[in-house]
Amino acid sequence: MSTIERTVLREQVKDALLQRIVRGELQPGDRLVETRIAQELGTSQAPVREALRDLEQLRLVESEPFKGSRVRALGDEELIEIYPVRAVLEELAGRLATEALAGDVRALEAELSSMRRAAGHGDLHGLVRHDFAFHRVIVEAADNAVLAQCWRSLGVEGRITLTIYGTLVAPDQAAELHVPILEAVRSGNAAAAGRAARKHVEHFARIAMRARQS
Amino acid sequence: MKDILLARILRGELKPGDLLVETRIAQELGTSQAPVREALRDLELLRLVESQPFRSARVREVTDDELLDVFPVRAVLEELAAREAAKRDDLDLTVLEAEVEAMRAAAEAGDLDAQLAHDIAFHRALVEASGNHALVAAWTALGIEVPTAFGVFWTYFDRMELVAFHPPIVEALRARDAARAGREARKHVQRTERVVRRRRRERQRPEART
Repeated sequence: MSTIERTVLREQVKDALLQRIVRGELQPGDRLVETRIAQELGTSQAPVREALRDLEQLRLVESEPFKGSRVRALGDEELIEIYPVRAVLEELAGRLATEALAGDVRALEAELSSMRRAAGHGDLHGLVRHDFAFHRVIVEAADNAVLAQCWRSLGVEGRITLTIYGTLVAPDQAAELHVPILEAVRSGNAAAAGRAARKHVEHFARIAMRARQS
Repeated sequence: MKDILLARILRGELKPGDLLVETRIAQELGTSQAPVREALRDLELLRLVESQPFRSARVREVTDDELLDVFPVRAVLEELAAREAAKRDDLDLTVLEAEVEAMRAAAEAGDLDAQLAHDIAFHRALVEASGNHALVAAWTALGIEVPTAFGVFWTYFDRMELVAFHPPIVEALRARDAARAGREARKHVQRTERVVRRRRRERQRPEART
């Protein structure tokens, strides 16, 4: 099997599992048995194993030696408490990055175009990847190792994945919500860029809160 | 075990590049190797020790840039913590007040280790008072005691001045003024950062001090 087919397969398995998790067909604590999933989806076990590993990195799945994988339960901590922390860190990152980038937004524009393209094709996987990359570009441009490490510890990619796969936001809207940040970084106004980055996170905090209450 | 090694590194008894041989440390401290290994791993997480496969761990050089990187992050996290804490109905200031008093007593007695311990305990209590576990985890991940300790050891703050940084935060919390509490918490970290930067410039230009 070629590498491309293998990658595609792994992403398809991952997408199938993600859909089931956000629809609630797979509940926290449910076991994820490789052989059973492979049989159900008509694939070999290897892509299933890789997909489970990806989901584990997103902290949506947990595995224990000799016990296999389970869907992870997300506590209040992860659902709600992370947002204000992410908001202040991304505000700081937006401020520092704007000063460091001095109006050079090429990397951010590339991620935004990729997000729009993915949204146009209904490619949720690509949308998540470029959404996360957009935020990572800003955090890395801030050039503060402590900030980057702290931000990584929040598991932002898993959060974005749940929001987008859980259809809490329409794909094209998810892309467009990044425009105010990009424009503020382009303008070179550090305070405005920080504010735009914070508001972006706060917007998703409200969406997550509403989804939880309903 | 971790505290003993940490204190030696902070006091400069163990210098950057020094080898940390598990067996030798275990023998010296009269323990088995397992707790030494664990302590070294903890210190590695604090980025104070580096290890390579098949070699003994070494004390890492902590650069000024790493030290300075932590301040803006601490500033936004502690501002958030103070703001959230001020909004809580069940806010209890007993611990924060006790830590300020203990800090003051240690400063007056000239006990720097104790002052430092209570200073860090104050900031931890402030972050915990927010009631946000994700915030506590993020703040803890900064390994804050290390930069704080280095900051104090390297820059020789006026000790009473260090103590005086804290009461305005407690006062704003008592008044349940979230915006002011956040501002005071941020200002404290920023003032510390400014002093560290100033001392660092002075160290780099020794001729300018004469």
